Amino acid sequence: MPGLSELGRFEEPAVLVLTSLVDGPRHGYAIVKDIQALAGIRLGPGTLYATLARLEARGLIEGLPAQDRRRPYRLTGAGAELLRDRLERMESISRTGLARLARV
Amino acid sequence: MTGLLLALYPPGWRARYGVELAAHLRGQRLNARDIVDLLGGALDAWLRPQWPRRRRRAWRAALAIVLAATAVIVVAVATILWIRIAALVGLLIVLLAFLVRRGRRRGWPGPGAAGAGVPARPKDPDPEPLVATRRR
Repeated sequence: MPGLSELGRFEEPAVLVLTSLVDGPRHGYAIVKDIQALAGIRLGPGTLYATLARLEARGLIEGLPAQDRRRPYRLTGAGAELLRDRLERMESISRTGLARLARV
Repeated sequence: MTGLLLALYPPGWRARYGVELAAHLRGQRLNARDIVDLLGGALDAWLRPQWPRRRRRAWRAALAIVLAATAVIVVAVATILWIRIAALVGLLIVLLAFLVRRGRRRGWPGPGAAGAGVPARPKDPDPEPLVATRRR
């Protein structure tokens, strides 16, 4: 399975979007609001839809039928697996970094 | 302004995401950063189009069919050529065998004679007579 690192500059937005969809299906505007509340980052509309297109093309999310011209997206099993792997690695790096900082 | 920015995206991309991006932008005041972000998104969509998986599979299937057809044609041509080459070699062998046989009939020593690696058989000094004489 290809990793998120192949997404280049869209890697970080992809992690944020996938994290936002763990709670359940959301459409673009709700994803932006959730990420803003979660991480204090505001994704621009161009970045958001470039990220959604990449994630959908790789089968990590899937679009549901549109509601009032807004299409909700849902996390797939492959997307959840990839996100879990990524967050575990981030947690490991974070733990190691904080432990080293504590010794300084 | 929104319509103009959306028009910068490729038609295929607009067909898939245009309506929802327009709905996403509706009611929002676009600032300069959003406009730059959308321009970057349009450029990215042209330069690195992201195809849905189904289309990618269809594209791969089409490529596989083309490659398979090419392989079949190459094998068929190679087989025909091989058959022709084999037929030509067979014909040459038959012709060579015919020439060797004809050469032997005319006294040509041919391969295996003296001077051609196989020594000539020495003449028998006291050959037995073909018809034995009875001694009394």
